[in-house]
Amino acid sequence: MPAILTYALLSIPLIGAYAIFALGISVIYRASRVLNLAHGAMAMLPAYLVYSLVAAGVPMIVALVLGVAAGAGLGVAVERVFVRRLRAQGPTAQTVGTVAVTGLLIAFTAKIWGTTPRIAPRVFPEGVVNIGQSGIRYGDIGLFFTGAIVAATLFTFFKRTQIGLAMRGAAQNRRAASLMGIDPDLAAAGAWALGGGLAALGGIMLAAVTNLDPYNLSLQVLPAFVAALIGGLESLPGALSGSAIAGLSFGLVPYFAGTPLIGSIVRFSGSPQLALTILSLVAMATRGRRLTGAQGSEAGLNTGDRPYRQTDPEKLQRALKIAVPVLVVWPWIMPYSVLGNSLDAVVYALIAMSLVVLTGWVGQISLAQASFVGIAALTTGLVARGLDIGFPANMIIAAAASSGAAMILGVVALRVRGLYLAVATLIFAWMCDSFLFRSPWMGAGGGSSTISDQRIGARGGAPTFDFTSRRTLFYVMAAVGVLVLFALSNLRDTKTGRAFFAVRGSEMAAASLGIDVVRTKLIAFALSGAIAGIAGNLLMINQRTVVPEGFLFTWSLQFLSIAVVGGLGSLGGAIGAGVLFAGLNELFFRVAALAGWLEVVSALLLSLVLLTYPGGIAALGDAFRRRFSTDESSHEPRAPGRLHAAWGQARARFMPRPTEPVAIASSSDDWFTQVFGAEEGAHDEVIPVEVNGNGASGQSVNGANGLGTNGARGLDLRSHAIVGALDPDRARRTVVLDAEAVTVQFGGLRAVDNASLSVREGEIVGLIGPNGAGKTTMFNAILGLNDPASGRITMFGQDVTALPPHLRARLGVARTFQVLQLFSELTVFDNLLVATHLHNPSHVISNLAAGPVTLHAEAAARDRVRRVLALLGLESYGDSSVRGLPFGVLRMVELARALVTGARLIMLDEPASGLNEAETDRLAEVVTGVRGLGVSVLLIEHDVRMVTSVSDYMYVLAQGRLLTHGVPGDVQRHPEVIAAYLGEPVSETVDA
Amino acid sequence: MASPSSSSSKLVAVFLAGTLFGAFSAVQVAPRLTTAQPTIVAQGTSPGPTVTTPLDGAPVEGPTTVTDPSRTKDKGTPVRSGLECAKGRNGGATDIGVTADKIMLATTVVQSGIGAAFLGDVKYAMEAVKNKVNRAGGICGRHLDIKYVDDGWDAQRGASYLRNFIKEGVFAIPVAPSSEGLRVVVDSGDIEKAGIPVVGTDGMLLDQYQRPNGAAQSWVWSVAVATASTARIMARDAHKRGARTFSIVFDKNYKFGVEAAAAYNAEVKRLTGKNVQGYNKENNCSASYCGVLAGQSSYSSEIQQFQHADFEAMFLEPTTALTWMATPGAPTPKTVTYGIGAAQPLFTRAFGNGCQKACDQMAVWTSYKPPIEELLNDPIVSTYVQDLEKTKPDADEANAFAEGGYVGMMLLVDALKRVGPGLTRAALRRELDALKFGSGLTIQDQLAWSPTDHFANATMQAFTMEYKGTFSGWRPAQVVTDPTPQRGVS
Repeated sequence: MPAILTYALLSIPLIGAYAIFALGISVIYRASRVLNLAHGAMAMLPAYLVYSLVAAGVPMIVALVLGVAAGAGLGVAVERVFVRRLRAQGPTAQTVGTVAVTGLLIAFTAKIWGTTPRIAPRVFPEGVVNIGQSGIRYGDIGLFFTGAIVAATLFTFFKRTQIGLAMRGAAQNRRAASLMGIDPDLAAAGAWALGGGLAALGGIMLAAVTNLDPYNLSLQVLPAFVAALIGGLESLPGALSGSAIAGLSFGLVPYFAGTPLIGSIVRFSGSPQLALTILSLVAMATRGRRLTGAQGSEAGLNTGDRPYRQTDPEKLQRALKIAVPVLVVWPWIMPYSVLGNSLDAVVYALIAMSLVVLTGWVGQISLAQASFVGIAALTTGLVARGLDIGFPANMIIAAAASSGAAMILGVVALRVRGLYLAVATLIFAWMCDSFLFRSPWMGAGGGSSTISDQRIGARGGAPTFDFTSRRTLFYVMAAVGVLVLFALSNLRDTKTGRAFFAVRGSEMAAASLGIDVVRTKLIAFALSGAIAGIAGNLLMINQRTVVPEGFLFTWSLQFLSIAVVGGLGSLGGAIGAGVLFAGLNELFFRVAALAGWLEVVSALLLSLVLLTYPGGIAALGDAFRRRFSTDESSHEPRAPGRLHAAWGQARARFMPRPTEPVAIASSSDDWFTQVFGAEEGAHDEVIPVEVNGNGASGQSVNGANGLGTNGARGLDLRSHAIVGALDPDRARRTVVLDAEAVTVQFGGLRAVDNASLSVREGEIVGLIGPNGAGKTTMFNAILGLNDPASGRITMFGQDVTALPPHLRARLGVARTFQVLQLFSELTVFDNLLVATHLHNPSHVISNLAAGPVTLHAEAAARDRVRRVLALLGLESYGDSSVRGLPFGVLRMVELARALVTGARLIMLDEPASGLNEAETDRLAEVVTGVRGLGVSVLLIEHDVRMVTSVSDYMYVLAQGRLLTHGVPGDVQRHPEVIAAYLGEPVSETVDA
Repeated sequence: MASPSSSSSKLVAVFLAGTLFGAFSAVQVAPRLTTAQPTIVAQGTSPGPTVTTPLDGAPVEGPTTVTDPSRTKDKGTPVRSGLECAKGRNGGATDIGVTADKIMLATTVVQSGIGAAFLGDVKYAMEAVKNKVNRAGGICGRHLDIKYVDDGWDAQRGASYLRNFIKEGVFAIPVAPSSEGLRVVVDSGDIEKAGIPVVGTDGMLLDQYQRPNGAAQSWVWSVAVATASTARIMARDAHKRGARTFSIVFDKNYKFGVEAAAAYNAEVKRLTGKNVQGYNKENNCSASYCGVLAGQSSYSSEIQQFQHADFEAMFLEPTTALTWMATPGAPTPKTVTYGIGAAQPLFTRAFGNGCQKACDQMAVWTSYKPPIEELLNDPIVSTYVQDLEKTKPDADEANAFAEGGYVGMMLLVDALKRVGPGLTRAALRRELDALKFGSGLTIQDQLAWSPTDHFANATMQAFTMEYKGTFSGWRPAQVVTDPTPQRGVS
């Protein structure tokens, strides 16, 4: 038999085991969009149960059935207790919930059965089929065929049975399923039962051919995550083929160890993991979506009613007054052990902060943070030992190394999102465990990496600071921690931070505001990696010897837990969680009675926090303040602009609140600046605009959506309108946008077919068409959100066909969305601030340091936003979270956000969608008013009455093709338009 | 020009940094202003004959003297103290962690996590010795007070706890069953710097015996044979029995496996003039030299690559070894001409029960006398079993680590008794470095340390695993000594 075939055949049991596990992971993911990291533990516990049953004399077949049933029950329990309760907090919280389950199950099993490896009862008879010098057992073959049977059964179940179809339906759309009488919760519980049963089956059968111990068996599921990811988490056939690839990789990669070229790489232990990592990362990077909208975001942790708020300088000052003296005296008043754990607290807090940046702010889930820490720690070892580079230079190098590694993952994240990205990072961490950290060149090939004592200054010289002193090291680490905190809080409240939140909220919206999503994500990964790297360096400086086991991927889960316990978006929470978990170390050091309960207590703590305070310590702090605060104002939204005015004076963090108004410092030459200049109302009134509002602030009285005729404060465009009447000859108007013969194809579907349109300066152009006509596709093609198969798009005379969305935005185009794409974690004011991105000249380094460029730019940005709020009468909403605001107000906020960009062309995608008639009329006035500012408008709208009333020119699409175009009156009378809308004979005319 | 406000921000930042820097400087200066407190150090007794000491509070013969280290600098003129080995007359607080009625000891143990499977019982073996000593009135009127802290076999946590012990004033660290944390504090020099005795370790890694420069690890006294010696012993024994080609499978995740592989290859090269076939510094699995990653569900690919030779050495943790042996095609002792030799971590009943027929006739090497049928009549072995059972009835008395913990504690007790009432760390060190210790439980009759050599134990015995329808224990086989344990891995 050819050797390669021998190696392939040896993969058979792995393929079978991975298939069973991967199918279970996929079933659960499809049903609840949760990455079940407890799958391994859910496989392990029933295997122990079967072990005990068989030992008690229960026949194997009965024990097997009972074991699988127990697995199913466990699945339901996990769904009920954790997943369902954490649904409101989002998939990240649910995934972290499964981490808590893992801890609980392993701890429980270790307590009941002990940690000694046991031989599990055989499911199939003993016997071996020899292959090469190795062989496969009957049990292995049984595992393979069980996998095949399970796969076939599942395919049939989901395709042919009512229950299966119902589960699929509920997984894809809970609301629609509910309307059809399917209980989505029941369907989800069913999927978890199925997934749990599959985990149990896999666990029992795998244990039968290996052995039972609570730790290792739980980890055997890891390659199945890779398999599920390669196949696409939702696809059962994909999971199956992914399992084959994963299994064969383990079998075949070692075969190539002897080949001349490839062998030099694959001869290393861990090379199958490396190969699988590269394979899965490449697969993901090549097939993911380029940008997603708000609905596509799966990351982050929703913190309920706790939106992002800028740092309150007064509170910060108060906190600093307490914190600084405490930090200074801390090493002198605390016992040595507490001081040691304080060092751990700094490390934990830094790692948690790195996750706050990446996951909390940008929504990129990382399960590889321990790997970044490890890379930095080992790099510190390399440079300190080999090149004699001391602190702090080695910290910078270490941070750069882990930052670089994080950026590699960042490249993957450009295409992969949410839990897919989580699995990608998990695979990366796995590769680091198995390959990178075991490599002799990384310094831990011998099992550990050691450096000599670190110090600043020469030994015996003056000044010299010896880091083996915990007090000295505490001051150094605390100073580093404070600086990182200072920098991150600056970053969060400035341009880069807002870009982070925007990318998390909606990549499409972010790009439409000129934010370079790719760059923003890479910055986030680099920054997160750097912070984790600083933590790794400090860990190494503190410990002086590190071992790779300290950076296993299980530690990444622990670190994510720390960040979640803190409250994933909160820097203060990260610090609190770091202190809490380091406090656990102290607790176990002090209380000998807790020996043996480490895992139990840690898992219970995580579970408790998740289930009672899913917003973490940060939310706990809010609740505490609400409970005990006597300051009534803290219960109410702050007056809009209060903090922002303070900002305008300076970073305001440590400063008294400003009293002087702030001048605009922007040098941009957009219409906004031209219109508003440095002061409001400086321009001539040219186009009168009817104002229906009465000027009162507050929400809608008449309109349910808050945009009634007496709703939000009236439009105040009169004093700003500058544009004169349109030239009656359209041909003489300057072309702003020209889409020429655009075709967009999705597979076999031609969504837009050779369609052309143009928008000229000062025009409102309507684009109408029945459902499925291709309007939004055309819109997206114009904005660069999809790639036309052919055609040419020019904006302001420049060919933009190949430009990414954010660069088109920079030319002066902004948009609104049919499905609102506001950033739900931000206030109205902050949503609008995001739109100042293009006009903000500051950069990330300046943002971190809150340098002068940043301060001036922020002042200008806030002033710009205040003016637009005033323009649209939205001042009273400025400090409100966009969550829960009336729909009509939100539509206006989105329009305001587009206006803040200063765009010369604004594209509105069905802005009247969801509005009543009065609100629609009001919107029409606003759109006309916007045009009055000199802004051209391209408007997609279903409401023919509205669109014809405001448009200067119209295009009609039907089935992807341009049906007609012309002035509204002509278009309305066009027989094909009438037919397309009403399905009536071409000969009939309808008066719209 | 920066705005006034930004300048203020910077001022605050500078203030904060300055405050921390000031405090930082104070830390450096303050300790130099404190006056060193004199401590009382006992002069060591002369090395006596090898004694198998009873575990009671009786002192070992030899006069006790007290020195003032501020005058003697650790080796100065002895000062007569007139101390006696009795409560109230033992000198009271003679050193850190010592009071008139207590010797405070602390160590990290493994009660949770993956290491608890084979290290969990060590605590109970230690407790068995401690209880016995305390029941007998302690040592010179002082009871042993041991604080055990579970670190879950986590290196970082363990190191942190050990550093706490050092700083918070325990007298010594007995046994240190949680080897990962100990490795960190030994490698990072904390033990050496603090001058705290770590007595009776069973970690077997080279850093517990010697420093990287080859000097003795002067504050650690191990009772176990080093892993590197185990590897040499296996190779020499196999060669003596006729093996001419050698193979090894080892766990490359852990230093234990890496050290063993290097030492094994070096020894094979000495014996045969050639490296183990496939030897590579990266420790990959190639031909007869096979480094594997722990924790996999199958090793079929590695076994396909692996070429077992006349003899196979196995340096794997129990779980990995079980999986390896259960993989079809894995060589068994009966298919390898001169058998398979395994290291001490596999000397547990759980491994025997798990491996069953596949491990029949596997030679497991240990440096302790296990409580097997042939040795149960040995009174000391029998005493060990009874003591352990009293402390934890379901403990695995065959677990070599548990027995090592028991021996390690015996060593500490013996040395403490020799020091007598004027107990100091320096005195204990001197005693240990001059001690010839016979516990009756090690294969080597007598363990002896010196200031320049801490490889006290270099003798192991093979015990072959027996399978008669089920695992039926071990049968004693050959005893081999490594004559050059100081070689390290070279």
